[in-house]
Amino acid sequence: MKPILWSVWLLSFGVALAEAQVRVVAAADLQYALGEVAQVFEAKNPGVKVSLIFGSSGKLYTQLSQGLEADLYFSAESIYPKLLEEKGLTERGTRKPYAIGRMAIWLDRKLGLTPGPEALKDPRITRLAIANPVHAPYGRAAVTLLERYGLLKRRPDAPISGLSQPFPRLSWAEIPWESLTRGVEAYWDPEPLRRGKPHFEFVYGENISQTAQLALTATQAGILALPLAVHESLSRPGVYWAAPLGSHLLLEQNYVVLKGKARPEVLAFHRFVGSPEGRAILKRYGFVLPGE
Amino acid sequence: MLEPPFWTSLTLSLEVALTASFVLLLTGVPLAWWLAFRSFPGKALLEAIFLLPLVLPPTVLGFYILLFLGPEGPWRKLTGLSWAFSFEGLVFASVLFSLPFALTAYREAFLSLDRNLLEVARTLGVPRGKIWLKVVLPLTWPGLLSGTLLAFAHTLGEFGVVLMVGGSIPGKTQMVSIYLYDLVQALRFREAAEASAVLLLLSLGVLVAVRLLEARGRAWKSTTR
Repeated sequence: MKPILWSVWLLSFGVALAEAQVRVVAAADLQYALGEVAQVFEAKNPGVKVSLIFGSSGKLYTQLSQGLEADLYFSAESIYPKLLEEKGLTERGTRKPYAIGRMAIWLDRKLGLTPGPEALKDPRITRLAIANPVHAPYGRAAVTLLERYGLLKRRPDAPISGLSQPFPRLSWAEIPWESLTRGVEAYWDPEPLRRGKPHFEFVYGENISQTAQLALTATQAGILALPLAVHESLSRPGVYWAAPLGSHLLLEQNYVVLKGKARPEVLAFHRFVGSPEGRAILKRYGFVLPGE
Repeated sequence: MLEPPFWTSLTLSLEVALTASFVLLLTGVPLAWWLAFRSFPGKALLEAIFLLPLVLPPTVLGFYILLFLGPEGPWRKLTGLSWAFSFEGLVFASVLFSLPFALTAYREAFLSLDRNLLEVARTLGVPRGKIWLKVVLPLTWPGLLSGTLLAFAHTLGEFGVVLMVGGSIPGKTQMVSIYLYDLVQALRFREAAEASAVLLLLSLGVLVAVRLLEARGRAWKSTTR
């Protein structure tokens, strides 16, 4: 081998030694908040690099159960980390809540409306962007939020088969979301949202950050994760209303260390997220913290 | 078992793909003819521009189309039409996205024409319309049809662009590829596999048709020469 190749090889080896890596896969609502957590963590732990991949919790779950190489998984709710745990794909005792997810109603600033559930009745809002409730936790939370404020009414004749009791009597936790593939309007009547408008329809995002992008570029209104709505990319062109906790499906957000990945630097990042410093950052982005 | 929403989304996909193919045939054929036989300054650049949808990631292309069609976009301002999240928007996006495929196939078909035949017809004083009907179309239709079918199949499987432009509204803009994706995301793997099988068989049929047409086009040419 030529000397130059040798030195490159040695150099890359040196870099690999000096830089421990923590590979994180996380729900899309953490896009901004976790980026900042990682930055602060890296500054305090020289030589450790945190790489972040964002996606919908469900997609990441599927990829992880099919062998995606990662150290830590942050989900937007607790079902998927629990499923991973049951499959024996996580380190025992590392599944913890890091936050409670909150929703926000976001409106384009140009509409000049005071944000809130009532504002959605404005005749200019003919499309509302939500995440797809069939698989996105934030989409489910959005539907329950609208229901809570009387903007959606359950259809007594909703076509869901195999229910123990009629659909209108089910609690939020009992709704078989994954079978609602015909869209919200097949199961809920959006009459309060439709009244006095030329037309009204829901537009579905694949995950919560795509939903934010749809709201920002095309629908002018959306039900987003609060941590995205507070970020300047959305709060500058828009206004938002933070939904009170308990007004929608509770999103207990869990994170977990994956099987065989409990290296010191991974555990350090796991601890840092739960430390006062990590929590302070999450809180600034509008997450409600466990135990508060 | 496959549920009604699957068939609704499949029907929608077929409708969008069929309409887009038809539009491509109407706009792409004259465009391809023009590009095949005329030369003008900046032609290479123009051809490259038409091929650009091949390069951009579909979601990015979809994002720009959505901006173009959206409430603040130039399309809305120029025409007053609101095409975001609608059938028309899906067709518009699919035409742009499949243009490179159709255009390349059409151009190949025209370039393989024996130009002497055209010259002879012209010197005999055959009117232009008749040249098309009696010379050009009989010789190039397998190529034109296979290009159109390719665009059709391509639109059927398109995901990124329609995810952005369509907004996944069931029964309206939720195309079969997106419905399939939603099934997978909801961890309903068995139904997703069934739906995929239907889609695969359908696409296989279209692609076999393309191959047969291409073979036929070749046979045609060898007999005329």
